[in-house]
Amino acid sequence: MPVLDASFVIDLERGGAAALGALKTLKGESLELPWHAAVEVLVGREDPVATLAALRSSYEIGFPDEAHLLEGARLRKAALEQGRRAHWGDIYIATTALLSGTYVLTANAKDFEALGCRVWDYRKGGKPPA
Amino acid sequence: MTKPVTLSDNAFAALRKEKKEGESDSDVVQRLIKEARGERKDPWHFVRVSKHLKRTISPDEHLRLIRQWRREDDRDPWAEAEPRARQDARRE
Repeated sequence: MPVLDASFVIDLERGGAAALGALKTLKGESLELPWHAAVEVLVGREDPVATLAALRSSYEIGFPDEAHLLEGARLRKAALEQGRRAHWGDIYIATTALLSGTYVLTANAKDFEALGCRVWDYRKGGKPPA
Repeated sequence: MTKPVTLSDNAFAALRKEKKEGESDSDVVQRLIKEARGERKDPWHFVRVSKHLKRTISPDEHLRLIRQWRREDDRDPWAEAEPRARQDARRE
């Protein structure tokens, strides 16, 4: 189940051709929106309750469990040991993808690749990673 | 992270029968549970209804702010502590 970054959802709602094309390519697949990306999407809305209901009708909202906590800590620690900065928002989303063995749909591929994630930068077209 | 499970022969055969091309065993279990719960999602629903949900900021501003929020991690106390932690680790 591909994992969505907030950038993808916002591109979808504004009718971005690349995002809409990616959604067509993913026909029939369930899509997961991690809680942190959902929060970022909701912030820009006048009615977050109605927006959350719409998001829930479209995507699986991913909530963390113990495995996410441990994986998030591992990612941050690995970045620290390599002298890299890893942003918490990216880590929360990356843990979901890594634990599910899937990829992140994002316009910010570099940030997630640095965390060891497979990504599909839908703005560049192409197909989802195998 | 993966966890081993034990299935009866019948359950294992049923799992394999449900498997679609490209799906892992975990994918099959998650899909079946979702279907059983009747939580079928329509990925196009949000695209259709979002135009009726009022925004407080423009999409472009929203994307810019999200990038900014994530970068703001760099100014949190934990991030500032990282270089010091590395220096301490090297000294040890």
